[in-house]
Amino acid sequence: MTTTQSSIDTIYGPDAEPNYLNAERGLWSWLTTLDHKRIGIMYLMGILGSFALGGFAAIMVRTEHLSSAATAAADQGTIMTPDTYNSMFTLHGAAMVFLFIIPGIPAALGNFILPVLLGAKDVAFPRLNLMSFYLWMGGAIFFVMALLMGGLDTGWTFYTPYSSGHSPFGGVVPAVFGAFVLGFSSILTAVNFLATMHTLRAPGMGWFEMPLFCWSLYATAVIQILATPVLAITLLLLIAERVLHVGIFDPALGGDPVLFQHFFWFYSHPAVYIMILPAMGVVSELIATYSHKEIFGYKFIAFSSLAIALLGFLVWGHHMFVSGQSALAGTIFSLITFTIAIPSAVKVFNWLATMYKGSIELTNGMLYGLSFIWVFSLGGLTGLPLATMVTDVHLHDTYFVVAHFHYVMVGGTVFAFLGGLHHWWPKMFGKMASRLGGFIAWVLIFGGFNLTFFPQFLMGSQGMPRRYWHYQPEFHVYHLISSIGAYIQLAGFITLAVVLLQSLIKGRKAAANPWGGTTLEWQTTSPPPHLNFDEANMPVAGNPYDYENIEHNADDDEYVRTRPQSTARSH
Amino acid sequence: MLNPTLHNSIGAVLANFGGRLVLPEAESNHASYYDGTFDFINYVTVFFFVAIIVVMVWFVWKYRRTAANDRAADVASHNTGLELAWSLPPLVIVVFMFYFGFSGYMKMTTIPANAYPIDVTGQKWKWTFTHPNGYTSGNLDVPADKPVVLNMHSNDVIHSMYIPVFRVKKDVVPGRYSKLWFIAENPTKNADAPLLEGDKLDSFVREKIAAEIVQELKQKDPESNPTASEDEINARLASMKPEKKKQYAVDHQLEVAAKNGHQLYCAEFCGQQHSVMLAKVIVHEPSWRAPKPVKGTPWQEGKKLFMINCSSCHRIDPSAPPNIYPDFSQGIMGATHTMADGSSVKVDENYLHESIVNPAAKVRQGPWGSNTLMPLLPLNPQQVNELVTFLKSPQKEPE
Repeated sequence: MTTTQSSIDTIYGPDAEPNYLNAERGLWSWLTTLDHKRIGIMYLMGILGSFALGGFAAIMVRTEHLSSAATAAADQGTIMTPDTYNSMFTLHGAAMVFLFIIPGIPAALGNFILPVLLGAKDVAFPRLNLMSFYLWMGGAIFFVMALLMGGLDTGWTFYTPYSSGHSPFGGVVPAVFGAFVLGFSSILTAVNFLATMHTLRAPGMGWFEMPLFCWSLYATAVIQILATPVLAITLLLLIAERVLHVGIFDPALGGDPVLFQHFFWFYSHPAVYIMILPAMGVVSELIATYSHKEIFGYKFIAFSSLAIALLGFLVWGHHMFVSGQSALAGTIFSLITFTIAIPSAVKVFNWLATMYKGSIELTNGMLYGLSFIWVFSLGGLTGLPLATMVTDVHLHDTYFVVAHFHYVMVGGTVFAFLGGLHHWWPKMFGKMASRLGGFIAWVLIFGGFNLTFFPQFLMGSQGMPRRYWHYQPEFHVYHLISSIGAYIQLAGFITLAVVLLQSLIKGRKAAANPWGGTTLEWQTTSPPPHLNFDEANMPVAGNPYDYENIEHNADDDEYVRTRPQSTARSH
Repeated sequence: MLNPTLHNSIGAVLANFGGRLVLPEAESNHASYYDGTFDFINYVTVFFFVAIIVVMVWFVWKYRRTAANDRAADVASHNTGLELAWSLPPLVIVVFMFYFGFSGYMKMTTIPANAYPIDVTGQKWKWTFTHPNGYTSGNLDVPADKPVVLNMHSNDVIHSMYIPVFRVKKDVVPGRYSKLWFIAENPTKNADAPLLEGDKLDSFVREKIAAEIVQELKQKDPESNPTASEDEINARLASMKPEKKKQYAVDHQLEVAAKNGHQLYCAEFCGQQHSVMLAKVIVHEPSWRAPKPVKGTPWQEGKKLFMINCSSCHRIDPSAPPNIYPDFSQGIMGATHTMADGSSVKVDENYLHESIVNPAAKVRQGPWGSNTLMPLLPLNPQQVNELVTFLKSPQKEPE
């Protein structure tokens, strides 16, 4: 109990001005807190723990592939049996998708920053917020225990009838139940965010004065509320079939295995947008702030998030071009998939246009924002041959798909998450992280990422199927490069962890507005007080991207506002 | 670090830079359309990616924050005309992509009426290909230049038929049939090599006999490093029955053909041995006909059943790479095995029979763990007998 508080006192000193971290004392005050910022920090710790777990499994998979060049190298020994390998890639996928990427930006960064961005004291339903955190923790613990103790080898997709009638492992039911519980956490957070955005915007903040990150969270929340129940129902049906042998998906019991894929992707394709939309929101904030320039095409970016959220519900069948669904269905899904490519592409053009004639500062946050454009562009463009029906036939279920979705989901979402973490780190903890250390970590992570996944495009288009314990010798060199890239990424993430932890102890004190941001979180102290803003000086909102009247004060290395925000956008 | 495999694969990558860096060889009628579409998309991808990155890097450099450039220029924060204009070119391009993909997919799914049908069964973790005349094989034999349609079904979970050089893939789903068709373009090298005769056959058989003798000697004394004596080889060759010798010639033909065949994969995750659910595609001359299935001796029939049903997990050829499953390359009759529950069992005919018809009855201890069972095989009683006959002496047919 006292450890948490004494370490906080060590960091901020017993005489520090009151903030949300030292407002209450003791572990119990954290576990029962209703403060959205503390809940956000607790989510952050849980999510980073899940990321470490998923990362461990990824490193194990890559290490296995160093030495498993099929027949030729079989007698040189591999580090794991096929069962272990299958459990490792399942653990990697499931932990990363359900425990890290889906809740990552909304639940951790969103919880911390959304009410501050709106100029609110907290979310609309603080108790519900704490409940969704505990649901997340419960689901996560259930899930991880199932994976580690019962074992699970179905892949994160739980395809039937393998998962419902054939997998010899005991972890299927507990893991599926864990995912079911996690879904409730996701839905409750989404309801909370929608209510917050509808009711708690600061005076002067109309819908179009909300920062773009809020719009992306709005679109995400809509998807979470509408899609997650379908997953929940599907998972319950799966449990019913596995435990009670009710024939739903397994043809041996009279079911239809492809039905499961329809149900599953009806949730899981929109879930891809749960992962990427908040990332795009973060990137909009990063590009605008570090270009010190108003975002280009605000309304287009805001509405494209909503358009993507709605169209995202109509494209699930593009995961199933070779599953045996009808050619007509495939054709319609392919066509709609292409329509969703356009708003995504145009967002990239908007970010570039924001940089045009800006005053661009290459902070570590901006480096991750620019990396996002690189990685997301490549990930998005390599989605084209997968949306094109004829080319998808050969590429489906190969490493090309693996590379594509790692570029989009990992490259996109993780880089935006890291950019957001650097961006809001001073606000979260009141400390500046080492710029040089952060830069070194970025070089390793960005370089290692591309080295890991680019070769996978090549081996995939040459025909290397995914989820293969053993592979043909001709793919060895690609696997080798890929594994080396994974180790470089590992070094980068360890460096980053050291840099961030070190900043808590030795970091320079952060100013209220260290980056020159214009949104409301930069108008309060770092870290913010318990109720986010000084009661006597509650914020009044205007144009969220009004950089005209922000001046840099070189003495304190901070930015100050010389005049109140303009209420109307200049152009 | 540079082991021979790696060295060869680096060589293959360098050789590929000329043309085949991103796609494997093109060997079917579908490939040329596929490759053209894929190339088109790749050109678009490279163009847009390079354009975006060049503009991004250029802006970062040109508009970097300096003392002179310490605030952004006052330029418009939106421009409806521009925003519509840059949405249009991508829209037009993706309409073309959709159309190419659609028309290619239609060609790929419209099956010619005169296609040669082959029945495909997917099962954990093997493929079985049955031709109209009853000829059955674990590899896919097809004639060149003729449309072939695969009628596919699964006995258990979802599998996926994937032949990269043909650019085809289709899920093989339990409870329904799925179809896939193609025209293979080039006969596999040595697919229909003439059966070995005379001296060539003799020298092939001598190699096999020599390996057999070495193995027998090793079985007696595992520590030794024996060689086969010429006299012994000559004696066995002289006493060999002609039918047996002919069987060696056929084995040799299949071995050579499979070595040059195209790789065929299961692409949908199907459990523990997913990554070894492989087969070869052997393309024959257009005039090829599936051989008449001949009923051999029970041992020979048992061997066929073994090669189809068992050989992906159980090794019988000591020169093949080992895997974790029970190894039959040294024979098993009479051996004493430890079971998962700690008891021990002496292998006899009854044990072999029981293990085939009821794999759960006695599970052997080993690295596969106690929750991995051998799949139940769809064999009739006669086939079980043939398999047991074979397993009693998996290395050579009893005289």
